Amino acid sequence: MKTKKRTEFMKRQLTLTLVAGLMLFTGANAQAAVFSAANLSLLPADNTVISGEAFELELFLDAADAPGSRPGLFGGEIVVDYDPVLFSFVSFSTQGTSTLFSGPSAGSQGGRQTVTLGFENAPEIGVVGIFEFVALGPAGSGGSFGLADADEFFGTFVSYLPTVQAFYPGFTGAEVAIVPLPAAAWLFASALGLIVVWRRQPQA
Amino acid sequence: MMPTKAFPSLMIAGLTLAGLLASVEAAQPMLADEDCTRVLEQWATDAGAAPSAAVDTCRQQLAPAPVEESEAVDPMDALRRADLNPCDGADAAGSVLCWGPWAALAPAAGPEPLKSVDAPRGVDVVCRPELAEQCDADFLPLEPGIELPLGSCPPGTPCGFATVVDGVASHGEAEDTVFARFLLLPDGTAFTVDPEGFPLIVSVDAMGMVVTSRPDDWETLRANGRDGGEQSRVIARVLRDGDGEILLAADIWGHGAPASGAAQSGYFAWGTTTSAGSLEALRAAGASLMFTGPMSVDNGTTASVQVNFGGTTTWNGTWANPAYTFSAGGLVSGADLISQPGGFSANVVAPESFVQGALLGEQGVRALAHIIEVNVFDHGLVRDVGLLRELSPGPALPAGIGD
Repeated sequence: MKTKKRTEFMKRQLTLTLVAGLMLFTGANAQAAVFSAANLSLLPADNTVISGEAFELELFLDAADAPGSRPGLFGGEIVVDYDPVLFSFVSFSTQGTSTLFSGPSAGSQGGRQTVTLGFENAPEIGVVGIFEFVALGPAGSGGSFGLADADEFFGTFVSYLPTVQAFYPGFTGAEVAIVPLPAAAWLFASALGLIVVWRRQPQA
Repeated sequence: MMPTKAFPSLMIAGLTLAGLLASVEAAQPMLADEDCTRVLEQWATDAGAAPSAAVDTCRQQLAPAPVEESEAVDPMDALRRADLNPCDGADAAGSVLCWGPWAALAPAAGPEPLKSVDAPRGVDVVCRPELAEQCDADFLPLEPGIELPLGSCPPGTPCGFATVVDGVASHGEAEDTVFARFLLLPDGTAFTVDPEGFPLIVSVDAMGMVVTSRPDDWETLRANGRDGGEQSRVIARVLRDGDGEILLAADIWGHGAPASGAAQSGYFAWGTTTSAGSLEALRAAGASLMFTGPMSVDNGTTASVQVNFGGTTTWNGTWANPAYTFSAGGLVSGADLISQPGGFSANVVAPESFVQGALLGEQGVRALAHIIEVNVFDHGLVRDVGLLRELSPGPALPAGIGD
């Protein structure tokens, strides 16, 4: 499933690149170095999560079109929002060279729970970090995770090397469906339980 | 926007502030100027010591009376004075560099009165009290024939240059970019931008900030703040001293109003100019300093500038970009660098071009802040700002100079 998500993600990137190319062709190149086709995405390991279980969302940065030297370092500050009835934030762990310069800090906005964090030293393409959430909602429900720049006026994303230059990535959130624990898992767990009970009974 | 930090430990013994405030609140008729002064002094050391209504009343009372039309000064003279000194302009009350209109509060240790200097603009920036020590510098007269488009940076004073564009992106076409003088508080919490021919831009006061490390010897400063409907931000490379004060800074600034979407932004290079003592020692030693680094607007451009100290101190440099390369040279006066038309390479339209800079810092942290406005044949207009670091530490100076 992760491979499928990546494929879909790459298709979106290709589309964005084509759009950026069209903008360049039409002469909108003045800000091309700034308003790039860079993108930040939340990628669930699976589109379905099990009610009551923890699950992960990858924060994936593609800054291939951002300004700056290569290999470069990139960073910014994001806000993730979600329905607190359906999900609960557990943790965020950075990956690779990425580090946090702020957060993660919890908040709320418009009835949705938010997690705000700032990261830097991220490579141009890769997983910045992994969010861990728990699905609280009942089976059959589902919800979305919004992703946005923490400062929607100035923007917070920059390329750090060799000098600081701003860029404005697109943001792609995620949607997940909450499902019950599969019947096979119930049967397997029941069988395991029976075996354990049987083994612990004193032999006649 | 109020320069709350501009009142260092002013305490008036025996002041019965509560009584004064009660009279302000009970009776809108004004207090005596002396009483208002005390109210503002107390408020300055403790923002909670006085209600905002009382503070506002006293600020209005102590503000200078508007000039009657019959007394109005020559507008051009006023403009020139505002250019020389941001504290003379209409935005003085909001300037982080100015004491404010209530001159009665200025302590004995406050900034010196303005000095009159015959230079185009921005020469004698009056500092906030926090900057007074850095601003207390001797003036070196400009050599005859040298004109500095953005004015002089006296030795030992805060000095910076910036590009200014409309919008939040900092980037823009060269034709839509203007230059400005730029000043940053050494703690990174506020800045001013003084564009040529446009109103002074004053950041919100006391921006929240965070400084983090980088893989090179710079650090990253992120500062952002809101005050009412205004928002300001800086994201910069910085070099700090052991006390955490910023010695050198460069890159992104922005200021605007999120509700309306109006904003201005750009790039900057800032530091404190080399002291007069260090400049004299370098001159006496006949030293040569080499500076290099990327420009900020287009960091694909690498600049290299050599300064040769001597009887007549000169400089020459090259700017190399994948799309063009040019060279320039000129004179150094005090901490100021300026190009001469004859110093440009043949691919530059010299009459339409200039390079201006200022030598920053002392031994070990020397740098060159500069701007370029160059019309390159087959490429077009280039406007950029850059902070160049000394390539290798220059010659050691006599003990006590430039430490």
